[in-house]
Amino acid sequence: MTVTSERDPTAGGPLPADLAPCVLVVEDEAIVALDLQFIVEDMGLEVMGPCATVRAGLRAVGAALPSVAILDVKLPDGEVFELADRLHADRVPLIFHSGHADAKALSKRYPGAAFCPKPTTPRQIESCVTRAMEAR
Amino acid sequence: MGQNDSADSLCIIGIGASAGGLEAIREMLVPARAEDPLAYVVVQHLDPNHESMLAELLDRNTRLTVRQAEEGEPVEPGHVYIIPPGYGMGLEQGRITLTPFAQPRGLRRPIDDFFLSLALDQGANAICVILSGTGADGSAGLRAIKEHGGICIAQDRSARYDGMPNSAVATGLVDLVCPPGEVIDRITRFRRISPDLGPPEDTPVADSLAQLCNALVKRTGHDFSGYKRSTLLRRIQRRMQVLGIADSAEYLARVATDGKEADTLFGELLINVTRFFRDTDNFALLREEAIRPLVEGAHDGDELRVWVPGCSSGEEPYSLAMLFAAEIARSGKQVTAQVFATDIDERMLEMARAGRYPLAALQDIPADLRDAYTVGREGAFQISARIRDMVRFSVHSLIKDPPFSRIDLISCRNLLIYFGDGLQALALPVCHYALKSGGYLFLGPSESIGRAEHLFEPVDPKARLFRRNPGRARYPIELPAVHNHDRRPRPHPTPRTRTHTEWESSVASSRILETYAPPTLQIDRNGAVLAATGKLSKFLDFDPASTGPSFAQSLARPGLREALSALIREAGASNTRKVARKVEVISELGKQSVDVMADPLPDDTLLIIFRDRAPFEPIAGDDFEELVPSESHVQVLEAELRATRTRLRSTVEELETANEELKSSNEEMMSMNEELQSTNEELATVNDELKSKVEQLSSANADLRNLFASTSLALVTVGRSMRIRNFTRAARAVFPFQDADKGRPLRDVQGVIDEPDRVEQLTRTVIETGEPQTTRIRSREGRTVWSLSITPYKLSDGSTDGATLVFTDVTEALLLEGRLAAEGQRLKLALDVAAIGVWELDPETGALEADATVRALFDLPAEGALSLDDLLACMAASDAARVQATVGEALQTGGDFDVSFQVATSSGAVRYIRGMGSVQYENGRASITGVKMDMTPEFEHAQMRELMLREMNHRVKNLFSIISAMLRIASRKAETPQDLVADVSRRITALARSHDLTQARSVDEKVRLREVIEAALEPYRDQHSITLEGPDSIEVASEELTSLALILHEWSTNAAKYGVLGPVAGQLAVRWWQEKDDGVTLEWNESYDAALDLKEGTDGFGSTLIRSSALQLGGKVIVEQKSDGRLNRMTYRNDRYI
Repeated sequence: MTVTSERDPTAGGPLPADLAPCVLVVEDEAIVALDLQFIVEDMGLEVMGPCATVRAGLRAVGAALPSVAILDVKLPDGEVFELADRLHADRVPLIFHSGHADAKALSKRYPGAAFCPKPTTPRQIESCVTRAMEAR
Repeated sequence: MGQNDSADSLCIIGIGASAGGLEAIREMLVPARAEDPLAYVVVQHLDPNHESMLAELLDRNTRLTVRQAEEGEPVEPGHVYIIPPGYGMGLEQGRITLTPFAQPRGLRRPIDDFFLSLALDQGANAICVILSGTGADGSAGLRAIKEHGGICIAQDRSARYDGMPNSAVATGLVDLVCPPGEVIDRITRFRRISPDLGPPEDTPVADSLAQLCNALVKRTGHDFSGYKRSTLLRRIQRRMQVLGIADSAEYLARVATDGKEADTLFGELLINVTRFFRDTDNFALLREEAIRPLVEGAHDGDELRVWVPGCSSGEEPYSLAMLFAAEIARSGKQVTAQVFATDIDERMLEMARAGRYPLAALQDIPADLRDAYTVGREGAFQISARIRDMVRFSVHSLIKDPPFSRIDLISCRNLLIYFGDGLQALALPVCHYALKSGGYLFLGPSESIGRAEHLFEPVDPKARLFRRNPGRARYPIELPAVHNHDRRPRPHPTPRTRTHTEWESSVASSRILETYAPPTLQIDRNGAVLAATGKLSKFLDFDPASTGPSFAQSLARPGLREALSALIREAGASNTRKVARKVEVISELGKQSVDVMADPLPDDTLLIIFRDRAPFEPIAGDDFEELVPSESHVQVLEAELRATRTRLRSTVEELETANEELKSSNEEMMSMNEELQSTNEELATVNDELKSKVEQLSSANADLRNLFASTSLALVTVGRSMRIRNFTRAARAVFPFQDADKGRPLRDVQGVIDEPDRVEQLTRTVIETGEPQTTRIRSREGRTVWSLSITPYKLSDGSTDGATLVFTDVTEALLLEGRLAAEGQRLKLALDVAAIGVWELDPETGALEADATVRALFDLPAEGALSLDDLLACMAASDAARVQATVGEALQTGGDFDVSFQVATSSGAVRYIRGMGSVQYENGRASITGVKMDMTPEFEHAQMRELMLREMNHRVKNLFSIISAMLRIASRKAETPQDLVADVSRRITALARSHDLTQARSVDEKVRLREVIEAALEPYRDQHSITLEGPDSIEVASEELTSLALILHEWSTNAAKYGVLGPVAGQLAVRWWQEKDDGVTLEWNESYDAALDLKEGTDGFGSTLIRSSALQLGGKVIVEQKSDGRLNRMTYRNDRYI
């Protein structure tokens, strides 16, 4: 028996943005990413990713824009700003989920962005995502 | 004498002094300045047997250099030369000559001698000053000075003994009379008035000379225009200088209006020097060649006639008179000599008539003549009356007045030299006219007969003795006219008692007189017979034995004598002709009646004419008896009177001689007294000085004794022979001195020093070289160290006469020095190790001293001056301002400061420097001392720590979020809390184990894949058969670690539940390798020993976690479950993050 557990967001081409609201998760810690994925899916939303790197995130948004993005700031291939800039330009609401990011600097760079400092609770994520969805 | 008389040329001032002179000389030299071109020669009467301290005494009162004169020494400006005792001093070409006194004490005239020599050598540059003293020394010498155009100054009434100054002033030749203190000022002023006379022809006087001569003619009747021009100019110039008149017109006006000045100038122009027997050799020759032949050629009763024109003060005519008198006495003949001495200066004639001369002149007279013809007087001598009687002085001008005639010898010395050529050409014919044929002319040594060779032939050219050539005497009619001036009334010439007769000797007149004229006598008013003619034997009784003048009264025969006496008296008194009639003249043979007539002549002589009244009556013999007694009484009385007179005269002469001897003894005593007085003054002064010196010495001695007793300085003085001279009490620490040790050799005293030989050697070196030496010396046991300083012991004259040894105990100091050095070394080491630089700032100048460390910190050159600005320039602009402000504030408040700043180094890196400093005050000056430290490493460490903390914080938060995620995920499938706890704690343990790997190594070292696998399999390794196979080179990035650990944990948990690590027997082989495309493949292969029955759906949550983790790694997981085994393979790219 062969089980293919591949689930590459880039594999299936860009998804239509209006199909269902989907949330981009960029997180390099596997367990945290899985946890986020469960939380978002529990809200009945689609998850884009989770992506462990900036490059993976860029590849993902190249196919389709998410409704909301949950971004870890520090990633193995650098900080997330390139991706965040891109999303911010496309008016995707951003939720920074980070342990050490400087909230002041980030909110100055990305007005309107939300922050969920690590470690976070599912409730915080949910309310941030909900607010972001409403704000769209 | 054409010396340049500018104010710059050296002028030698001769100072003559005697008793009271020391004080006057001192006073005179006080204002003297060494830089003036004046030199001083002091001639003082000194005791020849006593060393003089005059030089020493004077030296203290003046800025000039004073010393006793030495033979041959050149006279230099700014110096004072003192005559040495027992010597006469002279001057020769500006050099001093010394000659031992030739004259006996009492006749020495050192001042006169020197002035004469000074005048001859220096001419117009000579100045003589006569100060206090008794006697008349200097008065003769100042004539010489004046004659050569010099200046004469005499002390005024301030002189303690006024003999010498008064005598000088009495000559009428002194230019200035003032107190001694003003002398130098007057001289300086005098020299300044006419700074440069130049050649006489250029002087301003030259133009108005003719007018001056005219003025003089008007005032005095004497015409100087024919005089030698240069002499005239010089003397007029001198006179003007003395008066302080620079303009000749002004002076001319003064001479013309001021009769006194004209007289003074007249006298000034006539100054000449004369002395007895001047040019002694020439006089000796004159005596041999002229006077002796004249006397020998004369007959009894003859009169030799001598004329001395320009006789001045009379020394010359007296000299001649003495020679004639001596020669006549020698010949024993009845010859008289008459000397006519003439001059135009009446003042001089007055002096000459008096015949009194200073004692100094006495030495000029040859000894035999001196004894015979001079008489001692108070402080002077006088020419004896016999000689004075031979000389007639009268005012007469050689060139203006009619000359004398029938002269045997003319002595005209040193007169022609003052005449110009014209006058000289006139004067010689006058002499020729005045002289008898064969008469002699005696001239001065520098005079000649010039063009008048036809008139005279030389007898001895060297002695300037000439003989008149035979020939008609021609009266020089071209004598200068004398009528063109209004003559000043002159005093009548003194009445002459006798005068010459001028009967022309012709045969005819002789015959008339001898034969036809009545017997006649010419007598003077006293009766002395001047001339006689006719047969007089009847009336007069000649005594062949008698010498000297004959008086008519005494010659007269009895009978005539009384009448003649009365006749002469009455005729002389009434100046009328008288006659005595019928005078009976009784001779041995008979009686003659005669009329005697007396006829006074205008020249104050009388003619006595005898005219016989009756024939001669021979007398009878018996009458003889009767008459004689009656006449003899008077005769006897007269004879007695004559004898008494003679005795009286001889007694008087004896008395005079004795008196003279006494006078001369007295004179000697006086002069010795004078010398003693000078010496006494010197000694008194020296005594005073010695007294004060003794006081100073005893005070200095007391000081010294106290110093020696109280000083803590160990001091020893030794003499040249290394004998102990003195020591201080403190020196006993080095040498065990006793008081009795003074005078013992130093080596005899056993000191505590370890190298006495070296000390002695060094002391000798100091004594020999005069150079100070310093050394260190130890005590014998070595505990004490002295610094020994040896300095030469200098005497007041600068010579070395031993050495001074000073021992200073430096033991303590040396210890301290050693300790300080060690301390310093340690501090230096500390500073070096800590790389602390030290700097010091002088805030006033901004100068900064910095050591090498500071310079290195600021990348400044190792050498050269620095300032605070140099440092500030190295800092960032904001830092520089802050540092400057901090330093400024510290300076104001006087506190410390501590400031950090950055410095950009030349390599571009930034250096963090901390500077600390504190303000210090020393002698009121603030300075800042401080240190600088390089804080760069500390700063970097702090930054690193901050970075680490942030990272740690991040990781901890990450860990928390992982754990909370894990909990949440686990909670999704856990059935019981126990399961949840077990599940989560296992996973956490697995994560912690893998995390351990990162902690055990440094940051740079990566964790190897094999280690991760070994850590995951750690709980199973000892019970199960597990093989690991793969390259060690494959590493795991920290980001991959959690995912890999989770995957391996799931795999091993699964195997423990269902596979070979649990219930199923089998082997586990884990392999990994590097794929060609940088991917890594990890294979987990379980092979069962026996085939298993496969059950479905046992994975669930575990496989979700594996998938999710693989996704994080960018990899794929393949799971193959078979009955004989299970294969998990994951391929991922491990270069993703690189």
